[in-house]
Amino acid sequence: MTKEIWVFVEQDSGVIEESSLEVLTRAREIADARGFRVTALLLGWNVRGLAAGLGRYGAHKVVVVENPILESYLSEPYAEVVGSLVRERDPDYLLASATRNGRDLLGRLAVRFRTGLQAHVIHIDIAEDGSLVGHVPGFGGNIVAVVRNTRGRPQMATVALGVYRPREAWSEAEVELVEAAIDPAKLRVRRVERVRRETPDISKSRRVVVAGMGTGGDLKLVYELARLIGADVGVTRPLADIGVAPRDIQVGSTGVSLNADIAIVVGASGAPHFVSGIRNVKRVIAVNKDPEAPMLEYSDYYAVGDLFEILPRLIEKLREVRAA
Amino acid sequence: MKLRNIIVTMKVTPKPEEVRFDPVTKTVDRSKATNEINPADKNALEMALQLRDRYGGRVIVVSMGPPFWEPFLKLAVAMGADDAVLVSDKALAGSDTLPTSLTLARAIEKIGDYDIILTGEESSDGGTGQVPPGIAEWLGIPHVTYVSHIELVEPGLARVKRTIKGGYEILEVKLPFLASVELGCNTPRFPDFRRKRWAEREFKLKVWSIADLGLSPEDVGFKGSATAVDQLLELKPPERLKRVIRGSPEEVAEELARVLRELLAG
Amino acid sequence: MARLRLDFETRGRLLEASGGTLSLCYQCGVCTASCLISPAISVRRVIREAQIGVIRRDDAWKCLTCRYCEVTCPRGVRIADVMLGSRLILYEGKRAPERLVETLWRVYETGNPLGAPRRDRVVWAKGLEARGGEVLLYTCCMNAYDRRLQRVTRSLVEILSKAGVSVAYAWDGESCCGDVVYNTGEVYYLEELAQANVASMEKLKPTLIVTVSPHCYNMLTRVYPRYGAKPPAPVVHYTVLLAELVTSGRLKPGRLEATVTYHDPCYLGRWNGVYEEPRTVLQHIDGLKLVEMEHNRSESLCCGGGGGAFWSENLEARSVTRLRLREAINTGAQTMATACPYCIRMFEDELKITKYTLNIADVVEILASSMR
Repeated sequence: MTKEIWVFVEQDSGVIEESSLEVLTRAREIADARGFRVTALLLGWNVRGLAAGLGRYGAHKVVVVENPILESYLSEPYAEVVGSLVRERDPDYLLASATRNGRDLLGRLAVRFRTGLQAHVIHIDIAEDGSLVGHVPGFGGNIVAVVRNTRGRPQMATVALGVYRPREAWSEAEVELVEAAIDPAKLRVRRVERVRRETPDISKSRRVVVAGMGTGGDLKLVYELARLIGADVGVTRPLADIGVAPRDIQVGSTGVSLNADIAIVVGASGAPHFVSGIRNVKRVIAVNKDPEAPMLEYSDYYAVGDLFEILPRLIEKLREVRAA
Repeated sequence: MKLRNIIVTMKVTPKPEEVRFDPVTKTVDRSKATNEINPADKNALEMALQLRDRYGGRVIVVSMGPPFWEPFLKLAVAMGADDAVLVSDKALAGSDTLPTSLTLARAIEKIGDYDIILTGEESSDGGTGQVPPGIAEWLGIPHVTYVSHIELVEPGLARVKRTIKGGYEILEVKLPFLASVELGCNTPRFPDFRRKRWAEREFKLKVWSIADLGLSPEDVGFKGSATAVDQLLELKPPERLKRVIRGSPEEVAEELARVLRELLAG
Repeated sequence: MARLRLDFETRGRLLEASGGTLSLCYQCGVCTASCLISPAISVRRVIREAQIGVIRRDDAWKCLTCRYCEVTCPRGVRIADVMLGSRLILYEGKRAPERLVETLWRVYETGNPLGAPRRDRVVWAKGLEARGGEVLLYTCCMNAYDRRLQRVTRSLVEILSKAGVSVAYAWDGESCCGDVVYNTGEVYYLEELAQANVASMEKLKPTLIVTVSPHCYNMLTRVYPRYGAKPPAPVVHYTVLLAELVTSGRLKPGRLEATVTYHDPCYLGRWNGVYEEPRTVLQHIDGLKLVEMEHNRSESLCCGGGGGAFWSENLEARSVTRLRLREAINTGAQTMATACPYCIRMFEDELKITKYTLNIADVVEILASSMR
């Protein structure tokens, strides 16, 4: 029997969660290597049009369940629908992106099926014997446990965001529409209100300029530089604390972890809770007045000087090259 | 509107930055690390205390852990908890989130009369965030994760604020329910040191074994788990080049521009 | 107009905290006029309300406890003590700023307000020669953990050893003096902490205790005895010891060509009357020209970091820091010398985001420079 890897693809009001595509691609890579099949689960309202396209990201097949109640994630109906599909069709593996909702859903289902669930893995694979193997970070990311699912089906894992890249390398998927019988009266949780803003998700940005307290809250130059090199902007915690920028772009252990190729960090001293947010950045360039700030230890290039003197000149020089 | 029991699950964790990895034995050395109440659990406890201050009821802390956690449970009592239960048993060693959530669920059932169960969103050592929805599933009650605020609307119905990407949502949920509390959503009150002295001298913690919960060794520990750790690896932070660029602002900007052009091209 | 209920119990507590001087206030308002963070607080109003036992606003938290207002008060009201007394009552009513409560947790869990690992407290002393002696150096948490301030601590040890003083430093059991705990109004934990600290010090049988920070000095000498914790030996601030060493000739300062102005830290100067000793040390350095700022000695301006402001991230205080920096620059001095870790950090952090050019140095750093 061909083994089936199911991937829960998260969506919100018709917009697919990008990190779910990362997991889908990875699942297909594993499946191609082993001759397995990948089935995507898409729950939502008026989402059937998105289903076939998931094939390009790796799904052989997409099971679509539509219901107004499923328009965006709610733990109870989602657990019911996914749970009954799993019970009915008995897949071998169930993966999801480690978003808040992904962890919420799989956390509940793992107990429902008395099966193993690996959390937030930064690497996922299937061993020769068919067991799911993952790398699970712990202790603030300094230590990684190599974990294996030992019993229960389906074998589950949530995958950390930004670890894998989504690729459109396959063809359109087969789509199956399934009816969901959800009785609103039986639900014990219901949504009353939702407030959401479009927020930049800088965890995915390939280039980021991060402003620290040394800017004094004046981010003009930072934004200018970012625009010039096609980068997004992030801030350190103190700047978010004083309200200069929203927490969504706060970099650090209680904020966003960057996965960028380049991060330019200006006016930040390099406090421990900040640097944990740049550990995955390929190249870190810092600009700081203090020749001995801790930031030096975490930088590839450390420019000593006043950022208000250096940045305008840097911007000018980069513009010159552009024009030439 | 009155609440009955408000139960808070609590874990004691080592400060992550103080945990050392021994590359020789490939094990985690927590022995020299400072232990603390898992930060998110402190937020959960604070939320429970605020609910009690407002709606009445009893706040009971329950932990699954070794005997050395006792002083931390007493600290929770000093913060204001009315009672504390420690489930401690050698058989629990090696439990992954499946038997952990089961054990805590059974302890909560034994305590009984629960209206709201609060947990921290995740712990600073394992960080799975799986135990909260797991406990709710064992108990067959609804759950909401990443909660930053709870209030009662009418008897048996609560309104909670849940953090989502880019904002929040307000949900109504029927009691009893479980909520995992967002790290940093409130400021945990500092313990009352007079109450702490009383807790240390007179308060008696309830200590339960798995037998007290109707569980057997096969249900918990390594045997009761569905995942296993094959080995531990140290994830070293990347080696940085640490190249210092000095000079006048003009010179520094020139060198930075050069470096950037190179990096942006490649 | 809102009705106020007079609270005699609160009035009594604040009257006692002020040593009875609370009743002396006749509402002239000079305090409000001179307060460095005015109009963030109306000092006159706070004192008036205190007289009738009312603490209506959370103003007491913004106070820097610098006591500048007390210099101008014609009646000798102990205004800072009224503020501190109010904090106790506000804290009991769970009206303390969140940042201060978070700082309490850090002191409790790690023995320092920065939350840095307990065992790293002695890292600053790595590489220094063996330590032991009758003189106990009580190192401030800031001086132990902050990389910039560690230079001050090492300079001090270097100087004392040159003077032949045998000093016990980086000793087992050294922990936060509790200044921020006291400033938050948490007295029960303070009592425990103070007694534990004294017990740790007693084990070393010192004959003299020297503090690096004026805040630690203030805690050990003025506050601890009120909580059943009496330090086991006389306590001095290190500038007093250094002054004695240079005037007695045991320490021979070298030469340093520099124009320096000295900033009187509030907790060394106004709170504890130490004005001349730091100046004496500087004046014994050949080639050093000491100039005074417009406000000096008992009229010194605050750096903005006192009264817990350093930890509560009191943003209004930054304008106070800048005021002082401008005064320093106006003297024409290249360097502002001081003798408090909070002052150094407040000034240097503010300089990072201004365009001023000024060196900040601790008195002992200047002394050590002259001797190398």
